[in-house]
Amino acid sequence: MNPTNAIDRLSIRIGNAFSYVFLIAVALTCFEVIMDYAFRSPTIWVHDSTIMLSSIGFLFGGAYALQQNAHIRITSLYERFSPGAQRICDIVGLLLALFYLAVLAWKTGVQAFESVSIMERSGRAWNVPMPVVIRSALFLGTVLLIAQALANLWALLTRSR
Amino acid sequence: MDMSIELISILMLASMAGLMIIGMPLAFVTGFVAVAFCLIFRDANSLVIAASRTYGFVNTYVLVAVPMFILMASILERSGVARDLYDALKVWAGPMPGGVGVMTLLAAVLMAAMTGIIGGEIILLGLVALPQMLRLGYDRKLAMGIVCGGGSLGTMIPPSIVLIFYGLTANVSIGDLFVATLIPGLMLAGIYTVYVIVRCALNPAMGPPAPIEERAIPIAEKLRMLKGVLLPIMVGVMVLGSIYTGAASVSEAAGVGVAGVILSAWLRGELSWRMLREASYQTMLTCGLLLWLTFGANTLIGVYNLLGGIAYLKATFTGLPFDPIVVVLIMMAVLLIMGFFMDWIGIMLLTMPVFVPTITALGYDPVWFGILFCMNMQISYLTPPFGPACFYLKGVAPPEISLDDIFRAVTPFIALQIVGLMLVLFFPQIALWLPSVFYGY
Repeated sequence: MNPTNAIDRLSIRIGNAFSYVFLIAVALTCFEVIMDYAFRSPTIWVHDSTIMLSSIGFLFGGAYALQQNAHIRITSLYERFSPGAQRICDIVGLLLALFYLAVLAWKTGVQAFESVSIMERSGRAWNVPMPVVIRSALFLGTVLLIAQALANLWALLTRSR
Repeated sequence: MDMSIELISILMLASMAGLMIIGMPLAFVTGFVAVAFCLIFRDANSLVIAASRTYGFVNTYVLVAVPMFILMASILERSGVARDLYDALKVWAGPMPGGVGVMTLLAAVLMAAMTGIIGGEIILLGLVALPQMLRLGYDRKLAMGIVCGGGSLGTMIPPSIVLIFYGLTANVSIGDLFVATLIPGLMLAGIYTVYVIVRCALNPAMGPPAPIEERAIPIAEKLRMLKGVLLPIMVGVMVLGSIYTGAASVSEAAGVGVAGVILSAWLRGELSWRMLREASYQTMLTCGLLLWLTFGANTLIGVYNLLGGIAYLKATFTGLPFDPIVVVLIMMAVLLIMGFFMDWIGIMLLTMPVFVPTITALGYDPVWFGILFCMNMQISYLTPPFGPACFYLKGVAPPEISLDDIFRAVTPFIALQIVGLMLVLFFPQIALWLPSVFYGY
């Protein structure tokens, strides 16, 4: 779907920008494979870096998929409803989704805040604040998804019939 | 609030069904039902499960393989490899009726070994192979069935995103699954091939061979045509080989596989920033919807487990007064029925947390069950009203072909898939023999 408001554009911009994390993860993985198999000196940081990169992609991908209306839904019955009924279904669906997302943002927000305040570390060989990154991405990705859901709701409510 | 787990289960199922019918995205249906039931039947503190299960899920190394295999498929889709592969194989069809159909199936198997998702493969076959078969005067239904049936092999022939998610959900080695699925996948391709040959032998008009002048290509030329597809096939072989021999983890192999297809696109003169950018965007989108659906379902399963539902269902299934194999058959029927309406990822996330422990408790091998599940999900790709494989084909088929035509065309292939499923169900060695040779257990 084409962007119609600022939130749409933000979701797309963030989604497009962060989609490159997967290519970076590929490059790092190849570097690791070469270091490991050719030079027998595996790194300690590539595995964890690729996990961080991909999870950033996954977490911000939710809003992107919502903006593009790509989330999987069962439409065989929905398609038979009248446009008015479909609109009501969409509004109800978004309100309930917002309830779930609000809970998720609340709980992930608390965890992200705690994680940042103690600079939680992974405790693995490469002991960096990896949990801080993933927990923050989880919280921020959820917040972006909420913003996108609100934008969709707003579009539905203000759309002239 | 106190309520028996039976009643809670029924309420949960009913509210999910209701919300799905109104077209709410599955990711949010599961998430909302999870949160609501947790609040009503437990307390607000337990809601932390929504955050912790999601965090635990994304924080795993195997999951990194998922975007990489999707990226690999997305890049292949944008290159001319599929067309060249098909053209190179087509010329070997010879004068036999149905020969081009058989070559299409062979192309489908090779493409399945380079991709782990179904959509792209069916679109490619629909664009490349379907027009060729229709031009030769193939029976339309047979041609469409070959494309949908062959294209669905993408989930069976490793790498397979379905099996990666199954491995993560069921806590089974993905390497084992990839080895186990090989023979059942090839067997299914073999069953399709026999079907095509038999149908065309009985009625040669169903699959006419190419005209003689088109077939008159010297062997040297035919071999030269194979050159362009050698590299992508080698990438596929390398990826699977390194997983099978245990030389590399699934994620490492996937990463090298992406580098391999980028390299081969470059050697073919097709590589551009635009191609990589669009493939990345597509990967982001697919991952966004797959993962968020997983988050919601994971939360739901966590809540249901807190309420004692998993233990209850497991006890119910294991306590059924039937032979264990009948329980497996019942599970297959449940999966089959769900497949009419839902996508594989939704079905997996909702059923496997119950089915897998039950299967293990009954003394079966979860690797074998994973293969059964995967075969079942292949069927779900074809069955109406929700048959994604048919939707994909509809998107690229000539406009005079209706969705109903496609659903009718795939019916014999659904029957063949059920035959294959039953074979693996009653002869588990079809799936388990190869892993036993590889890993010696």
